[in-house]
Amino acid sequence: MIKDKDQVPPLMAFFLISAAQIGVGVLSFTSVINKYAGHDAWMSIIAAGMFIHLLIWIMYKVLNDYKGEDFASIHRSIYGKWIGAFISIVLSVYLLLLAAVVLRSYLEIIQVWMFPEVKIWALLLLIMPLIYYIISGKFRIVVGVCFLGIVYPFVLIFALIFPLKFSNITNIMPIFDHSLLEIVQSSVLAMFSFLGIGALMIYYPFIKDSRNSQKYAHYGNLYTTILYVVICFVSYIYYSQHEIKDVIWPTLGLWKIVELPFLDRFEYIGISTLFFVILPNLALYIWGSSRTLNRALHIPQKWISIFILTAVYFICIFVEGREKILQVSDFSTKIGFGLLFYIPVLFVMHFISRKVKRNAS
Amino acid sequence: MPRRYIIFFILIFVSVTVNFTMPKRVIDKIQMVTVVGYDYVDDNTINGTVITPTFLQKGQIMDLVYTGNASMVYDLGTKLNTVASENLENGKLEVVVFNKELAEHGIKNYIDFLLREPSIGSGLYLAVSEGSTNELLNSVKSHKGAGVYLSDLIEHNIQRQKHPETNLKTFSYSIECETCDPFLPYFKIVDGKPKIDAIALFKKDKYLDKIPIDEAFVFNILLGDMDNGDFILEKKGYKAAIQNIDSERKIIVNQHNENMSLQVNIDVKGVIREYTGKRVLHDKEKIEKDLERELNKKAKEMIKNFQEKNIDPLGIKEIIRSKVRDLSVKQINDTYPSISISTDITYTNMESGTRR
Repeated sequence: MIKDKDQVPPLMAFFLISAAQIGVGVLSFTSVINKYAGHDAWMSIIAAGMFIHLLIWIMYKVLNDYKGEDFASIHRSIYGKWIGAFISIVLSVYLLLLAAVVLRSYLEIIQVWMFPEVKIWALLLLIMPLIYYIISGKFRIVVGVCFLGIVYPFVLIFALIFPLKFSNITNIMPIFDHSLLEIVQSSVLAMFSFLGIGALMIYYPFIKDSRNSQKYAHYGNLYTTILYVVICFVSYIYYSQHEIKDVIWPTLGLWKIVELPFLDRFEYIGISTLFFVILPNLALYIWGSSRTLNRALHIPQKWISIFILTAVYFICIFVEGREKILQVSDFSTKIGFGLLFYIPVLFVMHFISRKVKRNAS
Repeated sequence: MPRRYIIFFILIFVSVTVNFTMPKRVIDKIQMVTVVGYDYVDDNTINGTVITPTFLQKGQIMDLVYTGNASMVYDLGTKLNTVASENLENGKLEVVVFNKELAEHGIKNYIDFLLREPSIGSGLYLAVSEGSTNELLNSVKSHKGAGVYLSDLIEHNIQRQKHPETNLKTFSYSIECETCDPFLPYFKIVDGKPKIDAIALFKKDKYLDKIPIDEAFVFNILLGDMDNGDFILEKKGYKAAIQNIDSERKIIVNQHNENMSLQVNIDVKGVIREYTGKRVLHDKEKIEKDLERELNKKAKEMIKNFQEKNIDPLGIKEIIRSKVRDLSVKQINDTYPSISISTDITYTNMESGTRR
């Protein structure tokens, strides 16, 4: 059982869900999801968001049945010791990889936009102790970082007003110019931006009165969806579809038009503030990864986190250049996608195992 | 516990020391380029003029001018660095001028760097100069420095809506977009000073034609909703200066079978600023009629001219694309020169200053 002082109020589910979803992808997803649906892709985000709502609902359905248990122990009780441990390891490896991808993509942005000459290996030495410091201080600190990760970057929303002056609403007209199939295909791509909700199954026992946190989790997902739709909408009326396909980070491109009397390049403020967006990602994923391994293999969390941080460190160093970063991030999103669709499977398995157990007794 | 902090300290120390050797950009040790001009030499070579201001003392700026030949924009920067006493940086770049000859050969290749470079903003102004850009940039005599001077010159003309909205963003947008064509301010040296003499029209990235700045008013109201701009009406018997305070453009697309026709409705609300007739109150209707006739005539000529040249700086094709569903971009581009476009400009006079 988790101690009372280690638990967090149900409201924090809001911050945990959306802080895990919003990552560096927010800078680039608009030029990815339009592959099929073109200028109608902003509708795909709504579709993807609704699907994620369904998955959150399913996860709560399963989790509420197991009082105070998490991913590792649920899997042990459904599949038994070995298969359960194996799935837990897959999840933690995936979270590790995701953390590495997020961190590496952020460092890439620093390299391209701010300091091309920066030594990545040395810069990582600055970030790693910070993450270790956060995750070694119990779950409450991780939640605190998630809270800040939503609150601080919120002001960046106001920077989206500037591009509107140079936007043409005709860029997204005519609405519904693409078939329903194309919109659904794009919404599959849009779902990559919503990854990270799986961590809910790990921190669920840490939420006080966790049953009541469900509505906050849905609000969190709703917040992410609205934020994405707003960003997507502004991007699509600012860029034409021909223009956006050549841009790697369209959201940063939106900030290029911002001109303030005391500041010429707003992107620098934006990129620095984005560190507060990726920090909860890193902290939560690495904490989740180490926690799952700890629960599955019973190794002290301290040593696991040091091992995971070392792994993340070396992945970040060895993955260099745009293509390799893309390959690794594609690979990790594919696993993530598999895990998303594993959630309904888990739901079914949960009911089967309950039936079987009930019959046995 | 202390062991953990010692490790933290060592890691942070290593990190900071290693990255301390990164090239630094101290403001005294760099030169901020504010304006660049490119001239055509041959198909592979451009002649670039770069101006960077140096602060002598408070309120005093000296412009340093560097020129050189290069094949690409970035190449020019590296070549000029061998002349400049400090490293040239692009972070403050405000205006880029192309000479007419270069613009005629297409400038798409030369704006690639501007779009690719993260330190260059999208609010940058592009312009075309009639003569050599070197002369144009050197003709600026101001305590502001050439870059800020030209940028302010363009900016206040855009704000007063003498010249339609333009910058790097709108230009690259129009080049990438399949249905529209861009325009830029067109500079000419008049009496030793740079003057926005016309609006340069492009077919994709190649300079094609220009419309005199005096006709910019008609161009502006055809382009979109405006809330500023001036028009001088000269008729037999009287002259009137009219300031537009609010104009709304609506384009109606009529499609009957294969034939498409467009109706451009523009409502202009204006104020009479100067009048040489008797009384505005008395002649109000006559002025309105005359003005409407004049504007309609000019608008029709202008649109016809664009259709004949097969360029679309007004974004009319984009309106068709956004309103008619089952037309491909190619179909729109093919039919554009032959579409019948009628204009209906109505003018309402709101005020006449402090006199009747």
